[in-house]
Amino acid sequence: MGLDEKELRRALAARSGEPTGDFVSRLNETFRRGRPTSDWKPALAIACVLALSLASVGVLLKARSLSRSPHVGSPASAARSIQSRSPEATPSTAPTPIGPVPVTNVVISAPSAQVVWALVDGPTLYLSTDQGNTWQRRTVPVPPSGAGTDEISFVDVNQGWFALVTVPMTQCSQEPIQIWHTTDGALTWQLIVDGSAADAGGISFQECKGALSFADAQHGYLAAYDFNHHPTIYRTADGGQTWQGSTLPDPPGFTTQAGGFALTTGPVKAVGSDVLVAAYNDTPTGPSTYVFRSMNGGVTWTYLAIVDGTSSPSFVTQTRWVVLGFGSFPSHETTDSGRTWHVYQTDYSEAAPEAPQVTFADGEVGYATARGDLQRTLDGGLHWTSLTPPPATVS
Amino acid sequence: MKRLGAEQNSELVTRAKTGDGGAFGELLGPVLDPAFRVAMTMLRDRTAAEDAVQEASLKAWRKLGGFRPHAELRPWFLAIVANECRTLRRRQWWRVLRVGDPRAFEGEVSQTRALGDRLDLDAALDQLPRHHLLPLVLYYHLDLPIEEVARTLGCAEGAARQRVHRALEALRPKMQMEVGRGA
Repeated sequence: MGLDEKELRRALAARSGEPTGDFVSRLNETFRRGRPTSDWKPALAIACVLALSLASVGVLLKARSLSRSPHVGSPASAARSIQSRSPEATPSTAPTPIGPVPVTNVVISAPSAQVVWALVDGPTLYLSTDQGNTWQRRTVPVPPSGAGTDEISFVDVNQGWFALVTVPMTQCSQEPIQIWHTTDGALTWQLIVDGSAADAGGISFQECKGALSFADAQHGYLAAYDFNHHPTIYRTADGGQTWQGSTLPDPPGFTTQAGGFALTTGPVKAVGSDVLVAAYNDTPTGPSTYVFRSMNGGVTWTYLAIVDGTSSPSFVTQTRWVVLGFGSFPSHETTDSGRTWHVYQTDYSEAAPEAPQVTFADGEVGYATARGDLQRTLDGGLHWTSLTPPPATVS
Repeated sequence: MKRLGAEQNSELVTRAKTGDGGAFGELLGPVLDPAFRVAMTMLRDRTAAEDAVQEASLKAWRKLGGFRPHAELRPWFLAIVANECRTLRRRQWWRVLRVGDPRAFEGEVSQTRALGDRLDLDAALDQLPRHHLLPLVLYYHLDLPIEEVARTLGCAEGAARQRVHRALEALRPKMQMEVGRGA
C-alpha cells in the first residue's frame, strides 16, 4: 500500500477533534473556583484524624453510658463500627421498575444466577434479585471518586465490598484505595482497609489499583499494576481485612521493563479450582492479551494462553472463555482454555464502539455493559436481551 | 494558533502560581486546542479526551510551582496530557477499548481501493502502541517542530527523530516517508 505523509495526516486528523466551547467554558469555570490543593493526602489525613478523634470520643461516651455492660469491644472495632454509615436514602424494599434514564457507566457484580448488583454512574448502587428486570436502590459508603474507577464485588444479596479508587500518580507509581465491606445488603458499611495515604492491610500504596473480585465471603482478589513492573495480584483469605501480593510472570515473548513495557491486569475470576486473570500489553510488539492461571488460590501464577484479540476475555467456565466483538472485530470463543479460538456466533449488538465489560454469574447467565448500555444473556452468551440500566432517579 | 508573548506569559505564570484562576485559564487557553487534539487522537473518545485534558489541567496547575516563567508552556503541558491519556487508557482496559467506526468513511470515498487503504491505515493506527502514536500525533498532526516534539517526549532531538521513524516503521513497514521537516 503506497501511503504517503498526506494520507497519514488525514488519518490522524480523522481521529482528532477540537474542544467544544462548552468544554472550554466548563474548564474555565473550574479554574475560577480556585486551584486544587497540591496534594489532597494531608487534608485527607487530617480528616481521618478528626474522624478517629470524634470516633474515640464517641466510644468513650458510649462506654460511659453503657458502663453496666460487661462488653464494650475493642477501640479499633468500636471506631470501625462508628465509621460505618447509614445509607443516604432509605433503600426501597419493593422491586422498582426501571425507567429510560440514560446512564454512561455501569459496574456489574453478578454473584448468582438471580442476583446482580450495579453501580451506576455516581453514588448509586442497585440490587436486582430477578436478573436485572427490576432494581432496588442501595448506596455506597462514601461518594465515589467520579473517575469511573470504583469497584464493587458481591457474593450474595447481603455481603459485598466497595473499593474507592482515586487519582493515581504519574505512571501509576502510587494510588490511594479504600475498601469498605457490608454484610447487610449495602445498608451499612465498614471501612476495612484505608490505603488513603500509605500501605494498608498489606496493599501497597504504590501501583494503580484495578478490579476487585471476591469468590466467596473470605476469598477475594485485587489486581494492581504500574507502567514499569510486573503486575501484582493481591489475595485475601479473611474477607478483605488483610492482603498478600503475588506478581504475574512475563508471558512468552514479552519482557517487563521500565518505561511503559509492563502489563495491565483485568479482573481476577475464580472458576472451579482455577483462578484466572487476563493481562494486556501495549508495547512495540503490538497489543496482546494474555491469560494467567493460579491453581493454589493466587499464591503463584503461570502463563496459560494468549487471547485472540486485544479485548479482555470473560471467563465463563474454567475452559470456556468468550470475547464479545465490537466494531469490526467478531466475537471469539475458546472451549479449551485458550489453546484454540474460533469465531463465535452471537446476537450481541454493540451499543458503543468499545469492548463491553462482560460478567458471567455462572455458565449461562451473564451481563454485558458498555457506555451505560446493559444486556443480559441466559444461554451462555448466544443470545442477548437489552435491559434498561437502573436509573439514577429511582427512589 | 494564538501564542502569548514571553513577558505576558511570564506574568500569567506568576499570577497563576498565586492561585489566580483567570490567569491560569488565560495561560492555558492557547494550548488547549493542541492538548485536546492529542487526547482525542490517543483516546478516540470525546468524553474521555475531555476527562484527560481537565485532569491534566488541574495537575498542571498543581505543578505550576516548578514551572519556570520563561519556559515553553506547550511541550510541558502536552507531556502532562499525554501521560494522562496513557494512564486513562491503561486503567481498566478490560472495560474500554475503542476502535474507529469503519462506516464513518463510507460517504467520503468512492473507490474501493481508496477505502481499503484508508481502513488499513486506520486499523493500523488503532493497533499502534500508544508510545508510537504520540510522536506521530505531535509531528504529523500538530506539526510541531522536532525540537518541540523532543521536549514533549522528554528526550533529545535525535531520539525524537528516531521515535518518529520507529513509529512509522511500526505503522507500515513499507511506507515511503522521511522525517525531514524541521530537522
